[in-house]
Amino acid sequence: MARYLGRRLLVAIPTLLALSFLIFALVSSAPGDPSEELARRRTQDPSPAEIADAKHELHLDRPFLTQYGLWLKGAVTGDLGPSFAKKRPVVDEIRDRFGATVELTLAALLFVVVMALPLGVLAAMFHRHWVDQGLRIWALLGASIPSFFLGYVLIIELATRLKLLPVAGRQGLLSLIMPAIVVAATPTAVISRLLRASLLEVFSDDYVRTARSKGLSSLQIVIRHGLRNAAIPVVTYLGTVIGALLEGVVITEIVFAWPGVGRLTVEAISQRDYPMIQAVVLMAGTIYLLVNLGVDMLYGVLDPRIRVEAASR
Amino acid sequence: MSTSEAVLRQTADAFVPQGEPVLRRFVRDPSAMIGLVIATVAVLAALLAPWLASRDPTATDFQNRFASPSRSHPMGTDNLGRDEFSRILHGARLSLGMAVAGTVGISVVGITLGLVAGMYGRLVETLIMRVADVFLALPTLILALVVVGLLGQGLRNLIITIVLVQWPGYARIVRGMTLKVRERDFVEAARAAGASRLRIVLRHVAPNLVGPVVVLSTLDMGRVLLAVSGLSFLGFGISPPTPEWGAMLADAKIFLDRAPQLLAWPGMSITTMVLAFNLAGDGLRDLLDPHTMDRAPGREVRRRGDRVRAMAPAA
Repeated sequence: MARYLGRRLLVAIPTLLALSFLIFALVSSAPGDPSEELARRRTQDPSPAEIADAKHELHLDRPFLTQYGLWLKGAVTGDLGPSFAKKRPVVDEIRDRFGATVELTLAALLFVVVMALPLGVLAAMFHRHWVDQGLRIWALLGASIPSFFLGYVLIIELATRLKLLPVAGRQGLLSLIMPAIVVAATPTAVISRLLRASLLEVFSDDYVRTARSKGLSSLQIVIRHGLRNAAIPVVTYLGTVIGALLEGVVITEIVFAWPGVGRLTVEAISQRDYPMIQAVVLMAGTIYLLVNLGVDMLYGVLDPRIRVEAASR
Repeated sequence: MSTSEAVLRQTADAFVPQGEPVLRRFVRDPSAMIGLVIATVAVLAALLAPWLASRDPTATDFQNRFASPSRSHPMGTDNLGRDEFSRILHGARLSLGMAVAGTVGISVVGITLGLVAGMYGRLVETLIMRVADVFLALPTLILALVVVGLLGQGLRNLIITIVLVQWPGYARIVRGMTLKVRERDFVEAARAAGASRLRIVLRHVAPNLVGPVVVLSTLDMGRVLLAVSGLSFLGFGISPPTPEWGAMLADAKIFLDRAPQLLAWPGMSITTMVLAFNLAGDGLRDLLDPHTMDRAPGREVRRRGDRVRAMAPAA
């Protein structure tokens, strides 16, 4: 297992490096001059000397590869430069916002697990019954409704009309409910369908037939034999689901004025805050990569065959 | 939602000309038909928008703001007194148009690069596939945000962005398919007959890939529409006053208390269309999945081992 983990980590490093280069190159090739941008934020009408100062500060007077090297070195040591818009180091701003996003993501994950598991099991147990059909439509709807629309529907119904929950912002546990539901909607729909399909396949396996002939009830079969075996194909998709989660967070944070990194990303992009854009995207990429790595690990834990196959290759 | 890669792979493997029974099965699948009908009606409505909605979608009428639905304004009017019905219909032209243009763009770029990678191998292949890997290492929306943010807002930039962030998935699949087709006997025969590599690509390999990819991109249309309207909602789409669903929703959010219907119309339009594409896509996928074919009702005859292996991440 340790060897497998080591190999996967080793493969991840070049990808991460290439990713950082892509991000740096993308942002660097943006039209407009960042040093002028920075100088203009400091003084109304910057002199050429002030622009030159800003250029020097941002290392833009160096060759491109040197710039990238310096930036990468900064990234490793935790210095990603000054934010144009916030007038403070990029890293500090991200640190302040990080907690809110983690909170939202974890709450959403909780919703996904709590909702997707019973829905998937229910649909599989009532295969071709109206329950299954109903859940199918429900899931399709969940996967089709844009998160920004669902967010406003919830605000209109639960906050404005029924006054049950706060409209927006981050004020305690109650304000977390609606954003978490919105982020969780699509992943829940996808995972409950996957779980259903995967359970149905398990149900036709021999050992399930044996269990049934032993007189186990459907629910007992699901719990004892179904879930673990059905989990493997579902876990394969977890990586993509986490991607959807990260994407959902961005739009949801905008809708609910949630003070997290997602909102920071959109702000940075519309304000052309180049160092901030580079930093948040690098962070998103790193997290995504690590999560996918974690999913692969989990996959190996659940299905020993994969571990063996990977190690022998 | 991007379970598309596994779907793509399944569809690609399953795509064999089936003749009439396939069509009959599709017609008999009620939800697929509903999806197809909704999509067709919407596309027709979008095309005929100037005739169906006679009012100018950008003409303001300040005497008549936030009007309720009436005979002259079937969906009421918005915050500037513009006819909502007309804006929704004209918005369909842009929203659906961008989704179609994006999907076509992704397919063209994906097929081309996948084919080149699969046929020419070596350095070209490594280069294309590694670049694709790096693109796939970022959540799509976040990459799209950066690209569109740097390119600047606008219709053309939005479509470029969507193509740029979504080609890698297609290129991967097409390369895989190319590698398979390349080994088939008829390609061998063509090679033996002295056909040039370009001729083999264009006459023998490419035609075998177009069908599956067209199917796949239809499956993906809903996802592209969601992405386009999401970016547009965030303010990176078309500039006002041109109607577009995502942007209309963003405009309506400040009138949430006063006129929630202004959020509902574009929101329901997007949802309905994505749902329609997903329904039709689902039907299409079932149709092309050999596992579900000729299955007696009530019996699942999939062999699980096969599928698990097929879905395992390529090491």
